[in-house]
Amino acid sequence: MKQHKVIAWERNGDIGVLSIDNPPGNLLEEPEFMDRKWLEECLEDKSLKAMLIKGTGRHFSAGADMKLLKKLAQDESVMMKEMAAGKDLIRFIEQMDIPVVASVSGVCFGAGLEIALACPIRICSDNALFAFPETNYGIMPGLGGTVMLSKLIGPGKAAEIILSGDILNAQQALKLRLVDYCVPANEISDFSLGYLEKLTSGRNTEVIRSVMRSLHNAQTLPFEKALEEETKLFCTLAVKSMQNEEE
Amino acid sequence: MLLKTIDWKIENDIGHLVLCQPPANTMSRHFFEEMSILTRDILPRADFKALIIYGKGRHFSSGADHYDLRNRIMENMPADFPHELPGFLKETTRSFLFIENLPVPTFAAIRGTCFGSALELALHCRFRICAEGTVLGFPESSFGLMPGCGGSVKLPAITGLAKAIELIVSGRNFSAAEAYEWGIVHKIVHRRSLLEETVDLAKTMIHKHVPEWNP
Repeated sequence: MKQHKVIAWERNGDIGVLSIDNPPGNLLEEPEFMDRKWLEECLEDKSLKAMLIKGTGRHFSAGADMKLLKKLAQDESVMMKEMAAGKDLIRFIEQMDIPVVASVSGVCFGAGLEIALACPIRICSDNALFAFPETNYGIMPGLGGTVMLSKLIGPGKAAEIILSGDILNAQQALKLRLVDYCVPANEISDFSLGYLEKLTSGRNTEVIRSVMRSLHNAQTLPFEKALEEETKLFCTLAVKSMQNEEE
Repeated sequence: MLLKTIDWKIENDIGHLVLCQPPANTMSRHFFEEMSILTRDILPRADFKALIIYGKGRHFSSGADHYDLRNRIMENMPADFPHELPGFLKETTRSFLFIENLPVPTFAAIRGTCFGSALELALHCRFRICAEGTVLGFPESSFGLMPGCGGSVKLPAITGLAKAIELIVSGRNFSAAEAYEWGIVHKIVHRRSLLEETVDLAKTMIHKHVPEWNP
């Protein structure tokens, strides 16, 4: 187990488990909720096949610590720097070349929800609650929440959730496809880990990473450029698989 | 030009592109070569208002032969890869994109098996009509490969990222009912009436483009 700021890291077989470790609410004390270099070091092991992000205890994360955020906001330049670093972290998680699951139980608010949205796969427990409560405090999601939510569920529904600040339960989140799976609260740990184990078992890491890169390209590159990059990744794998057979 | 692996005909303004290497209609190198000829020399000059792609016999297609495919990649690998790609793969992408960009409604009528490159071809059609009992999938990851003709680009746009990761990384098969639930196919019909119902759908769309007051 490695610990940094409010984040803990451990390995479970081929899966890396990142915990937001500041119970009970797992508040994120600052927008730059972990050090990117530290995360990159955790991920350095190329045998890693997937990552899971969860909260320690009953909740995923209640989001930013408003008191600390207010203090931070007194100095605009510090605030801007922190926000940019936080966004960079979200972007880093979003672009990871292994599958990442957000395993959400209990409360998942604000910056916590932004971390969950950065994960390409979201699994929640049937007692999970989701919200962007920022507008209640006269602010708004600041780590890409407006962009990620709008892309995922459409601008209309996203506006409703962000402007109202209302809390969604697990069933509502599933219906909106804000989450991909909803399971009983006592099963979520086993289900999430089991899901990633089943997904990646027998698949070599080169294949997993190539597929993930191509899927990300599909989101970020123009269509025909993404097709070209896919063919490149495909050819590279084909050559490698031929060499492996010869060995 | 006589094609051996593809049957091409136009009936009542509807183009029929039939994969014709039964039993599994495996996409051999000849098939890809003939797709190139078809999309370069024949389809651009043909007059049709809708296109239906399907397989002869019980299956749509089991996809490409991955041993043959890998051999061809090794044989055709340009010296300056990855700046340049093997020509035959670029040509396959081009021919699939030609289908994608056709200015008429395009349908894949799918039954039996539809794997790998065959599913990629189907994803380049506007509509996918699927028979009950069809089995679909991207099995490439189980051969140490991945989709190479648009599968990993088209699928997430249809199903969302989570399902696309799940299907392509695991390589697992899925049923017609699952494909329908995830939006991969648009309609499920009985196996025996697959072609008939697809033709009917195509006809409906063609006729909607004819203004009623025009005699």
